[in-house]
Amino acid sequence: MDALLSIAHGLQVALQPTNLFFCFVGVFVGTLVGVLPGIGPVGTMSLLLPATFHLSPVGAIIMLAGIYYGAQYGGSTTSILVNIPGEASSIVTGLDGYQLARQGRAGPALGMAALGSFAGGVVGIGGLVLLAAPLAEAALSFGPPEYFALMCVSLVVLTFLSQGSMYKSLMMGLLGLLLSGVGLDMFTSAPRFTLGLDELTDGIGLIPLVMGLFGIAEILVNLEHPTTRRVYETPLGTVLPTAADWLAARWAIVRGAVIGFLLGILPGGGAVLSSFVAYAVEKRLSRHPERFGRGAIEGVAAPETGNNAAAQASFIPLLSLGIPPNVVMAVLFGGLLVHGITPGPLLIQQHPDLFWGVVASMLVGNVMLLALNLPLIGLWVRLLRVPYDVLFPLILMVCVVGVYSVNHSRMDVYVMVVFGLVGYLMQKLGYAAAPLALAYVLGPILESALRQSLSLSGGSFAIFFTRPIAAVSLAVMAALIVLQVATHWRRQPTTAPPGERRRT
Amino acid sequence: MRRGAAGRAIIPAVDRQTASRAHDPELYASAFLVVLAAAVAVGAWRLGLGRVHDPGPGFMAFAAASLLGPMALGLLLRRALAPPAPGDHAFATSRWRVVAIVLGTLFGVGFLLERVGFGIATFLMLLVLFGAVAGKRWWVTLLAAALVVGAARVLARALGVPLPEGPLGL
Amino acid sequence: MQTASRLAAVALMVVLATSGVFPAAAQEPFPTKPITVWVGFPPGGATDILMRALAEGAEKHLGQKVVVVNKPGAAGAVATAELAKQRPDGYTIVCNTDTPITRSPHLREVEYDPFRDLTFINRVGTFKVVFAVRADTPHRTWRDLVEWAKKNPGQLTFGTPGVATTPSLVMTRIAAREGFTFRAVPFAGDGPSVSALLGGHVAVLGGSSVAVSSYVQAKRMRVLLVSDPEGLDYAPEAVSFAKAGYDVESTTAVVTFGPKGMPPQVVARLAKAFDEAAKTETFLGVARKSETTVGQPLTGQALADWLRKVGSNYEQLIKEAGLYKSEKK
Repeated sequence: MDALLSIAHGLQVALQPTNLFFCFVGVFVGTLVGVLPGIGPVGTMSLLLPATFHLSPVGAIIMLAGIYYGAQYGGSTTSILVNIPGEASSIVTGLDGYQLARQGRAGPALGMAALGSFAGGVVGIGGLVLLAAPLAEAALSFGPPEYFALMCVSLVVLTFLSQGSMYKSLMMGLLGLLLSGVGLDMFTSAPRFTLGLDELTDGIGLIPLVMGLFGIAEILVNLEHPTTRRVYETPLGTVLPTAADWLAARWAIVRGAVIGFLLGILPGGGAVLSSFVAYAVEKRLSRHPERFGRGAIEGVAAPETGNNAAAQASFIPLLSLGIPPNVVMAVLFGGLLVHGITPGPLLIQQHPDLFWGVVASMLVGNVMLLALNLPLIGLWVRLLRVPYDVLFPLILMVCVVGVYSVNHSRMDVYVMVVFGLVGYLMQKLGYAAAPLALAYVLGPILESALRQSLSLSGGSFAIFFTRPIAAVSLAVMAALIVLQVATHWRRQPTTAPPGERRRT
Repeated sequence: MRRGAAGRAIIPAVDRQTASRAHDPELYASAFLVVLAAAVAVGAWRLGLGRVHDPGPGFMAFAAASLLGPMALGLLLRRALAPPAPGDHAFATSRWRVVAIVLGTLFGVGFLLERVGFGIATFLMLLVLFGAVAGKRWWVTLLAAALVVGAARVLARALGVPLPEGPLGL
Repeated sequence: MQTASRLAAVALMVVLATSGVFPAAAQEPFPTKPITVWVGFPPGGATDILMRALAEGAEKHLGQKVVVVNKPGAAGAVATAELAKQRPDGYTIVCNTDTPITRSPHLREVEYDPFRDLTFINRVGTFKVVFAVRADTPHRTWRDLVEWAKKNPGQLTFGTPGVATTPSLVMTRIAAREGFTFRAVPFAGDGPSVSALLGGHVAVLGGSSVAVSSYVQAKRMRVLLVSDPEGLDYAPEAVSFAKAGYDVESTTAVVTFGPKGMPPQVVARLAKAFDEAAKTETFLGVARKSETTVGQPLTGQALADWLRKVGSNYEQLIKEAGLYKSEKK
């Protein structure tokens, strides 16, 4: 009851004309930024930070927050349309989304992404309102050993994603782990595999890697055929998901929302983790898992719902405890500081207007985003009709500019080029890109969690088994491995001759 | 993965339909991975593996490389020992000239972006892509390139994205 | 003949006119176009928002826009390396912590020489380092903690924002002086180490003041030790290094600098502008909230000397911690 009253109060704040305006500006810019690959919400938010100096704290946060979850909606658009993930959390959306676009079903894919995102957002907000405090405390009990165990489970779950040769996918996962080690070692600050380049001391860079591996590689593959040949089939049927789509996707949305929300609270990698865990779960539970990677609508619904639920959930550690769980929340943290508010456990008590106003505006923002994105689908679908020989230079330009603008670094462009070639070769030779990218994201967390845990325990491995959450997670991992191996022995796998295009 | 009786081949029986072993790209790919894994393992060793209780900077890399190497080797051997047969080459449909041009152009843009500014760099890139790759007529290329660059500039300014300015403020 | 003399007259006029123009252009006060400031950290961090607040204030005094661009990488070392290659005209400068100047060169080979390739402009402010525990631990004072650590050698778990950060280095020296051993657990920044402390995964945390202030106010953490001799206003019971008898000097400062060879008047102009900007409401508010000590500006030679002193101090600490570049495997 309390919560409802507070929401009502928050809505009063959120629906004030100035705050409504900021909300709209935020989600609009966020969508744009999410659609453009490379340029992410972080860059835009920090650009707008000085502008927010002169706004009220509520208005400022509403706008900055809007950019963030708006970008989550937009990020899946490029992933579906041109296989360029706008965010790491959109990588998985593209696995099936892009295939749907090529089959002429970009509209339903985009529509499902938008609606799934909305559902995820609403569930996330609900969870935020009802469970913020206890969940934040629960998240605190995740220390290095728990993270290590969670990463182990995640890596096993990664293998569920593979469609073609699981052997080759495992190899790509290992390669991703190797690549994630490039940079300064966290424990000794020794440079690792940086080839003497200062620019590599912070690692290879996820955005250039992903854009090259998925986006550039895809263009190179498409350019094998005369550029007049159709890359995308003519759209058939409706622009929005059909009843059949909804039927297929309904559980994906529910499960995705729950998974996304729970994983999103955990600092570090929440949205990415939730997107592919939700996808993997759907695939595992599906009666026809071979459809995944070939254009299964659930393969779009699950990760999109998941990553939006996670995005909302990631506000919880910031607003309840003052701990920013990812880079975006760090910018919000800075934004709050600028306005004289130090985020911490007392935030809700001391600034209830701010908290409830922001929460209520998230609800408003999600509705706005739906209203913005659904009509845009028609526009995007029409865009795909542009002949590919005009389209691909535009895509490439957007990629280059996008990747450069993240860090203003030439090296990022070069990295993208290198991985564009790598991705092309991989596609031709039947190696999947998704396991590489996802292992790249998880690798650093895995390694630092392991070493931190061993530091904590003074070298003893018992720490992983004496702590309940860690022990349970490791047991789950063992069970999953057994399950996976058993299924593979029994099932007739799909063979993939090299050269045939594989999604996973 | 092909499989006969339950539990036989773990290593995928990759496509056996190449004409000649020497030109088999799958072979080269696996070989490359073996070499890469070995190089990483050596580098990781030099960084220091530490002890199991206190992993050093090279620990993770060494562990991953020690798994990747043998897996790649397995693929390599499987492929090398399989009798070659004619059929689809992995790179049969590749147009390497196009790949080189596209990648080279992107690299060039990265190189020039800060020196000559966004406008000129992307204009040149679009000229190459529209003209050399897409094969449009020269005036269409010029027009399209100019239009796109102009539009992008406007959009970037509107979003407040700072892009490097070259001479003439382009 | 008439044409020739007319031509000569015109030429003379042109020469006179242009000789009037060009010196005037040379006397055009700096700056004549927007200035770009690179911040070597991702956006949203304390350095970043401080600089953005400073930039806003400086714009008025400089009459030109000050554009802040984030160039993250190795705590500013990447930005610094690139800066050393820029033109020293004052239009491209870096605002960063002093890490790339005073610390990074001792940890590994860097592409620049901090005291030869850079021109220092001013010091914006300094951060305090604190050591904190959860409020529900039995350790009420720093002495308590030290005693416990001595009785339980190697059991004290200490969370840091990173392996070569000030809190980590300082703790190494303190432990050496006091004669106890501990387990250092590096995290990726203040955020994760705060989570670790709150969650009870580490016993004590070393970090920047702003990371813990809200928890002290919420009575969930207690600050036992602080670097600043003036102590902390939100935690008056915290003991300063000096009072505890430690001879450690630890400051992380936010400084602005440019490539070597910047003309002195440009440097002076920028320093003055930042000085004035540091007095504005917006900046002071941000500084207060981010627990940055301001108001002791340092410029020119004094700044260079101070940085040199800090640098050799860190060299010492880094060697004590066994992280010096040549000693690593």
